[in-house]
Amino acid sequence: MGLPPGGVASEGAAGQGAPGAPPPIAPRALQARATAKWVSTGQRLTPRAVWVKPFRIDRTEVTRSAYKRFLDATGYRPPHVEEDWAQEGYNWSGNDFPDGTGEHPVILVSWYDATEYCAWAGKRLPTESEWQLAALGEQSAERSYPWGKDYDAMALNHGKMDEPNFDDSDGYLTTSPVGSFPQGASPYGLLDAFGNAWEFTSDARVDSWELVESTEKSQGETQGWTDVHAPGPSLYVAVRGGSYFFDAAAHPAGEQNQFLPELRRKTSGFRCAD
Amino acid sequence: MWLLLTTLALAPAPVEIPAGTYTQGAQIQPDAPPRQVSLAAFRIDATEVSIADFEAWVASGAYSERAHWSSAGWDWAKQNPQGLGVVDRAAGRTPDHPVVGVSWFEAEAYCVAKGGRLPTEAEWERAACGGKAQDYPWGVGEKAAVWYDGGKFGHLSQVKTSPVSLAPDDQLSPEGLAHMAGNLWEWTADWYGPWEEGAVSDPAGPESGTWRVLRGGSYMNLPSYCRCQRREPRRPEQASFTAGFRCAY
Repeated sequence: MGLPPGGVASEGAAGQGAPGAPPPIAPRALQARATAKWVSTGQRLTPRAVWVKPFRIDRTEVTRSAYKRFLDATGYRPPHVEEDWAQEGYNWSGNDFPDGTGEHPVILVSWYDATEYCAWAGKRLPTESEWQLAALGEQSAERSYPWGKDYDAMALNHGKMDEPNFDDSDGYLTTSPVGSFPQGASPYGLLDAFGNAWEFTSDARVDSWELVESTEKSQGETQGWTDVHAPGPSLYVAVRGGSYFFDAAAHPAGEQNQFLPELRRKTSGFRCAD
Repeated sequence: MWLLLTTLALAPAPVEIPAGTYTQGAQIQPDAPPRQVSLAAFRIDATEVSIADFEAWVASGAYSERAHWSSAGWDWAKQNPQGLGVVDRAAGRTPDHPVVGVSWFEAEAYCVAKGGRLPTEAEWERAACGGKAQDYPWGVGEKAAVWYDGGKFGHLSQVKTSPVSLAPDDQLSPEGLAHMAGNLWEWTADWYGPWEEGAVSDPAGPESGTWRVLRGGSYMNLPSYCRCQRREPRRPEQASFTAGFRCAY
């Protein structure tokens, strides 16, 4: 896979020292973005500037090799579902991922699975505001996509909005090895933030700011809603970024989606923060 | 035809499960492989615990009644003196619906308070499919049980449980238990982990672990998650809108 100069700090497994771990992301103002109309339930928060404290986030989505280490170490349930579509190329066999896909993002994981992996790795899922800051930069950057203002079909592993949704014009029909689209890097160097796999956040998907917790709500030039978090349990959790089964070209904000936390989708992946 | 088990809702009469041997598990990933399990006789609730029954227990001072709780549960209860609270446990439903939003610790304490306990994983599976080699409590084949039927991108707008005592009579288990497939995941007593090999008697699961075992699937899951043999790991403090419980004795 092509990597930017300096290489990519793939997420590190617990106890491995995470060589080349990315630097903390500095606190920045973040504009919460409007919700795309095609999402049918909830998520009708009006945009609001929020503040994000320094944090670190995996530069790449969690790979299947890394997830296998988690399974081998803990005996946790491997990615496997019974639906017909999963029988070819998606399901794991025990703790073994499909041949040759170790550097692809793990998919077929639920929000609970993702939460457990991050906890095992000594990390956590990012909040949605953390994810958005890492993926799109601060508000003043005015980016609709991690790489800039305009869509670039070769900057992400995308799909199509019409069935069968799969698309290989970017070189990949389904998932791609993490970091395969370096030209799609975010201002902070986040890779595959858009495309490849949807990414779980730790937030519930809510439709009112009254349901959102924040440590500081005073307004001003240098402070405001901070540590914004919509705690669960909830019917839906917030997922971001789209996937190989989705295309953000027409509606950039359409990458703000919601999944049932139980379901193991063929597009659901994640990265961790700490 | 719909069967209203209203008398059970008013006075939950546990169902008697006789002693016997059955094949636990299934040769389907990622479930544990089959093994012979012998169980002593036990009793188990015919329904999931309702909001009404759970909140009556809460109102009796449950979270400050030391005798109901294990030591780990008591530590949890001191940190979470009302659990998630009555609003989240009801989740907009009437009191005849099953309680949600309860941790494993609360489920355990409730059952102890009722003179019972959580069923072991082996007991739960025996009760669900009657000890028979079949996918669902009623046999094989998918019926319109209380599970996810929203289609590929269907959306739920609310917690879609069925009242605990409302179940079609052709979806009951062989001994008459309701909602052993679908409606809500149910906490069991066991830690999640690989099974001991070979035939066992009254297995109680690993001695320690990180996750407890959920069984039965929920309104949010596809039918394949609601098979009698399906296991799901869940952290004991992790309450959700899709998990409840019933007690054994």
